[in-house]
Parts: sequence; structure tokens; C-alpha cells
Amino acid sequence: MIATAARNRRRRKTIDSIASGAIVAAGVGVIVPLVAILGFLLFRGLPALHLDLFTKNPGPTGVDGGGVKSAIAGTLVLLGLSLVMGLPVAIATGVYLAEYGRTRIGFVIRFLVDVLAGVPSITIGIFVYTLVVLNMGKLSSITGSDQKYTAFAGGIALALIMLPIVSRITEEMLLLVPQVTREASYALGVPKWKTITTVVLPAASSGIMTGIVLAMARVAGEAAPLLFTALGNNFYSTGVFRPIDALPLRIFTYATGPFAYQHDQAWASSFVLVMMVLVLSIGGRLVLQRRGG
Amino acid sequence: MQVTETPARADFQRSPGLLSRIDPRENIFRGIVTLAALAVVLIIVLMIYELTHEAWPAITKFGPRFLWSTDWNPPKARFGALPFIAGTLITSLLALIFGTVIGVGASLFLVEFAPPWVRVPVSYMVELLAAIPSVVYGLWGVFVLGPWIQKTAGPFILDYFSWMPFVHGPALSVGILSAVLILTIMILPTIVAISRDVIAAVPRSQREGILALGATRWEMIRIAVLPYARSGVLGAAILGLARAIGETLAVALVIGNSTNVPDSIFSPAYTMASVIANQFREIENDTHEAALIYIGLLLLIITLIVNAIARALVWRVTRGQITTVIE
Amino acid sequence: MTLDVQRAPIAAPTDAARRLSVQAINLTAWYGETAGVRDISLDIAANTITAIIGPSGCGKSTLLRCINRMHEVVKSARVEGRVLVEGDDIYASGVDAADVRQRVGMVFQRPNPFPTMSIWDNVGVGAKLMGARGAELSDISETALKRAGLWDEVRDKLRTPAIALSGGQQQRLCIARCIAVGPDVILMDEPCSALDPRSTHLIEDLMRELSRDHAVVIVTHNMHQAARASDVTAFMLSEDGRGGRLVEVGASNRIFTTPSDRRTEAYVTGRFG
Repeated sequence: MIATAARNRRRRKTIDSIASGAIVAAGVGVIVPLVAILGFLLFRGLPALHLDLFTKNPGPTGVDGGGVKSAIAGTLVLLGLSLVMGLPVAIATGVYLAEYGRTRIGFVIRFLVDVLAGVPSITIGIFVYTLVVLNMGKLSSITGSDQKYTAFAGGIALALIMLPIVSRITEEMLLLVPQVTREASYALGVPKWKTITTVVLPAASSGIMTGIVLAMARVAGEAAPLLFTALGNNFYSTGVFRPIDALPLRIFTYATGPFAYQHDQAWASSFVLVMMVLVLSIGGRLVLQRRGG
Repeated sequence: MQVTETPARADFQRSPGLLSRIDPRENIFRGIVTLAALAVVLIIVLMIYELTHEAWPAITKFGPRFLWSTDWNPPKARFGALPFIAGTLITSLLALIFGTVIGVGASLFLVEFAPPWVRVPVSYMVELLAAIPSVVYGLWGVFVLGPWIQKTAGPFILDYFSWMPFVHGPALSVGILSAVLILTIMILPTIVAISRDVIAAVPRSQREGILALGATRWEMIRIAVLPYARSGVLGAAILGLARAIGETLAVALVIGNSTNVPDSIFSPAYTMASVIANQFREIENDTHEAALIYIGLLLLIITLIVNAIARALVWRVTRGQITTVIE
Repeated sequence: MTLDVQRAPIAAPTDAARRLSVQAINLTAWYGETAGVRDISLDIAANTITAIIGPSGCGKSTLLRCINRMHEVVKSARVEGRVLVEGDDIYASGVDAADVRQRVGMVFQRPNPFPTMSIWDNVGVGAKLMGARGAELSDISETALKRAGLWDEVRDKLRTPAIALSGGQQQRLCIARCIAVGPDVILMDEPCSALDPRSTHLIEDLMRELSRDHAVVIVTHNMHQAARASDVTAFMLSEDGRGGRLVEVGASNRIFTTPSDRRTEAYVTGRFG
């Protein structure tokens, strides 16, 4: 009897040690990929980083040298377009959800916003292809361009990815504004719409800004939705109704290319892209945490 | 919220006798934000409509046979999506298994084991993993992970595990295994972030209840923590699955681009998302385009269902708490 | 002012022959740099109900949690001094906290059954950890439910979730869960504070019943409960913010009628706390 109890106790301690070891291993294991990826970005990307990367456009395929200036410019243009087209709708949706969305229809919309956040980016790309790219011909008299693939379409695709992120953060930030703040405004006879625009939104503005920055970090790295919308461009172009290059697209192309200079530039571009994204998302999170804490 | 009552009262105080008078700008403002919110509904409806419409030629031509035919022949305009459906299911389910085991383990480490000076930086690093763009994972997969599998991991697995089903060579730098490992890494942040919060939310009284009965730490986790947190952890895993199913470029770069149904963990293959990414720009005929959009539609339907399940689970656990998205 | 901490009488005054179950010797418990209790020496007799009373923040719960090493569950918590259970130093090196907790059971302020388990699985969970299986486990669980006075109420719904029970039933289920492990000592941390008067009464009767086989230690903020349900009462006070100290220990009827310390008198007559 005593022997059984002792054996049981030993068995339980052994299982506990094994399980604890596995859990600690998992905890250490999750940082291995990050270290491996960031390490290789430094190891392969940093040596390939060259001023030409920022000042020169891609040369003829197969010829060493050149840079990714067009892709960097394109990414900035696409970010700008997606902000212009996505933010108004996203913030207004967030305001609706926070201030008028305590209804059954509000619940449905909130659910659909979350569903939209889960739609694969490649599907967004196809959707914008069918909706915008295929219909560009009908708009040529307005746009003055006969191009099917455009920065405009790419911007819409990125805006659709941004939309659910920014709306939900806006909603949450508005709900964090204390109810007494609203009531103080109502007590002065200020109507609801004016309270929202002059009291509540400004109070939540830094949180919303953070959400926007995080959404930018997310879409800056997206290539899948640009494949059949913005298409990419070997030449420097910042025209809204022309095909445009983007950093993630350029990395995708060069990663599968046969030439060593393409691989080097892919690593260097990835380094630049990751730095851009990390600065945005670390910055955003720091602000958010300072507010939350 | 009850705020709708208050402005009416404020209005009344300001202009007695004009109870029915409501500032028209109130309605305009409300109308604008409501329209924006309804745009989200419109986008989803339009997305389903547009994809169905453009895929229609393929839907009518191949019907449901599209789902189980393995014949993908663009020049002859014959299309069946089974290789890609199989590729998506195999890669994402394997990634889900690995990602859940490692991710829940890591969450337990962060909540139950790690002192704050470890927990904070490790949590942070896991979140950084989420910020790295898909295409950078792909690049890393092509130049680091792939060669490692070809030269080191693959031969090792073939030496010791080739008695197992679906394990036979040759080990290439691209294929199912590369895609599974990349996807596992990519869904870890999703699983860790949510299951960490859910596990941390298990009340202390539950932990102490079992500890006071003489449980070891692992028994506490197994008996009190994981059962209590199970539906949230399940939701986290399914959100990870949704991400794996929809992941495109990283997979497109490492999966090997083969339209055959994979029969080994080293087989080159295609997933639904990656076949679209790679073939859509080199369309051979109208049916080819319709077939690819058909795949896109299937992908949309699958992710909508998976996401709806996951959201419902996570919502049930975190109902009433509003900070789930940003954390 | 100096605090003259009294040593508790070696045995409960009602029965000089009662043997010691728990001995705390110069026990100080820390949370980081703050002491929760300081320099406590207390003897707890077997087959006796010992109540620990004192105002909020005096460290009664901390003292209790040191007796089954639950104190160290809190991060940065540590203990100085010794605690002997049945003569064994539970803080000696090489002693496993899990083993200590099987000998010293605990019932918490709020009932904490495991919500995903049935009533039956809740009762047997601790005994199962210790290796009980099959008929042995059934016997242990049934006996525990009977001793906790819950058997007749739940015998027809043993497979239903434990959280479907009322608060008082849940607390008795937690007591059953605790005694199923077969502890020498049962610690109760304000076990009735979340319960209605009838359930409180049932639990007090149960404590009396349990004290025939176990040493029972109860922390309570309810002086009436200590007076009517305990044999021995220990009064604690934290006067200088440097951790709660033991002011006086004695037979409950003496502590509540003729305490020897003015501070005890002030507390039990309701003049502060």
C-alpha cells in the first residue's frame, strides 16, 4: 500500500517534470522562428543594403544593379490611396458601431466587420479584380487612361483590408470614452451628433490614430491583393490610373527570380519593409499600451 | 447604451414646447454613419455576387464535379479543384495541429511559468511575428527553410520515419512540409495571443482549488486550467486555421507548384490561395479564369464559415470585454 | 509599544490530553518586502476547531495559507520560521508542497467546484490524483459526500454539472472534495462568508462533525461564528503595518468572555475592527 503510494507519487512527479519541460520548450520554441527570420534579414539584407536601392529604378532584367525606388514610391502611393478611400468609411462605421450599434442590426454589422477581417487577402484581390479592374474600360473617359490594372484598384483592395481593422479599433476606443464625458456634454444642451464630433471623437483620437498606424503596418506588407489590381510595374510610376509597383510585389518577383542581384535586392527590400512595418507597429503598440496602462 | 434618452431630454430643456423638433443635422449625421456601416454589408454581398458571377461559366460547366475532379488542364480547358482543396486542407490542418500544440504550450509557459521579466519580452516578440509580412516569410522559406529541409531535416526524416505513411522522398526544398512549417510559424501569434488571454482569465480560485488537493502544476493545468479555457482556446485555434487557409504568398513561394494531389509530406503541391496567386496572371483562356475565380469563391465560403465559428466561440468567452481585438 | 506574544497553551483547555496537530514556530510570511504575518507561534490541537479572528488585513488568511503552503502560490511570496504538521516540518528542504497539501486540505471563501466536471468527478478528483481507482474511488467519493451531508441531496444527480448546485451545496461539495483526500488538517478560509444563514448553520454543524477526525482551523470575520462553533480562538492584530501578530490564544469561551489582553477585549466587544 505504501509502496503503491510512493510509486504513484514518483510517477506524478515524473509526468509533471516532462510536461513542464515540454511547456518551457514551447515557450522558448516560439521565439526561435522570430530570431531566425530577423537574424537572416540582418545577415542577408543589411550587406545588400545600398544607396542605389532607394535612388534607382529596376534595371533591365538580368543586368546587375538598379534599385527599388519605384517600388518604395509605389508602396507609399498605395498606402496614401488606401487611407483616403478607406479611413472615412472605416471611422464612420466605428462611430456607428459604438454610438448607434447597440441594436440587432448593429450586432449583425459588427459580426460582418469581423467576418470581413477574416476574408483572405487573395480573395479581396480577386474581388477588386472583378469589380474594378474588369470595369476600368467603362471609366476610361473619366480617368483618361486605358489601363486595366491601376494603383486605384490596388488602393481599393488595401482599403478593404484596412476597413475592418480601423472600424473595430475606432469602436473600442470610442467605448473607452467615459459615459460621464458624453453626459456632461448633453447636460449643456449639446446634441448627440455634435457631442460625438466635438467631444467623443477628439477624446478617442489618439487611440484611433494608433489603430490607423497598426492598419497601415498591416497593409504595407500585403502583396496578394495587389497581384491582379496594382499589378506591379518595372518603370517608375506614381500615376493613380496606371499600374504601379509595390515593395512586397517586388520581393515576391525577385524571390523567384534566377539572378543573384535579385535575391540580394529581395533581402534588402525585405529588410526595409520589415523595418517600416516594425516601426509602425511597435510605435502604435507603445502608444496604445501607454494609453491603456 | 442608454445614451439615446439623454439628448432628447436636453433638447426639451433647451426648447420647451418643441418636443418633436429634432435637429436635422442629428439625422444627417446618423444617416451618414449608418450608410458607412451598411457599406460593409454591401461589400460582403457584392463580394459573393461578383465572384459567383465571374465564376459562373466554370460553375455551370463543371458543376459540383469541380470539387472532386483532379484533372487540371488549362490548355484543354478541363478543370477540377481537388488537388488544391486537398493541398489547402492538408497544409492548414497540419499547421493547425503543430501551431495549437506549440501555441498553447507557449501560452501556458507565459501565464503559468514565466516570471514577468521573461513574459513581457516573449509576448512582445510573438506579436512581432504577426507583424512580419507574408512575402518576407516566403522569402525566408525559399532561401533558409527550404534548403534546410532539403539538406538536413528531410534526409533525417527519410532515414528514420520512412516507415510511416505519406513519408517518402525525395526531400525537396519546396513542398507540403515547407508550407506546413511556414504556416505553423505564421499562425502562432494568433493562437498565442488569444489563448494566453483566455488562460490568464481562468480564475485564481480554480487554480488554488486543485492545488489545495495536492495537485502538481501540470495536474493543475490539465484539470483546472485547460478545461476551463477550452472554448476560448478552441476559438483561437480555429482563427489560426482561418489564417492558414487564406494565407497566400508565403505558401505560393514554398509549396512547389504542382497540380497533382500530394501523396507525401515532401510532395510539391498547390493550395487554393497559392494556385490563384501563381496562375491568375498567366490565364490561358476564359474558362481558366472562371475556374480560378470559382476556387476563390470556394475559398471565401470556407473562410467565412471557419471565421464565423471561431468568432462565435471567442465572443462567447470574452463577451462583455471590449479589448480583445487590440490585445 | 512592545507586543508580548503569548504562547498558546500546549493543548486545548477542554481536554488536556489532546495531541498537537500543527505547530507554527516563529513564522513570518512575506509578500515581496512586506510581511503579511510576523513572528507567529501557535499550536493547533488535533480533533479541535480552532478559529482565527481579527480585523481585516491582520493576516489571518495569510497565516492559514502558510499551513498548507498555499502562501507560496502568490508570486514573490516567501516564509521564514517553521510549521510542523504531525511533527513534520513542511518547509524542510526536499518536502514537496503537493504532498503537504494532501495532508492539509483547504476550503475557500467562495465555493470553487470545477465547472466542467460533474458532481461525482468533483468529489473524486483529489483522491484520483492520489491513485484511487474503480471501487476504491467510488467508496471514497460516496463516503466523502455522506460525511459532508450532501449524499441525500445529490445521489440522484451525481452526473450533473457541479455548478448547478446552490452556493451552500457547492461549498459542502468542496468540503467533500477536500476530505476525500484524507487530510489530517482541514483549513477553512471564511467558508461561510458567501452563504445564507441556513447554509452557514449546516457548515458549522459539519465542522463539528469533521473535528472528530481532523484538526479544523477556520478563519472568520464573524465573531459569533467563532464563539459558537470553535473550541479555541486565536486573535490576531496588525498594529504597526509590519505584519499581523498573534495577540492572544485561548479557549473560545474564555476569549469571548474574559480575555486577558485589552486589545482582544476591545475587538470582541466590538469597539473596533
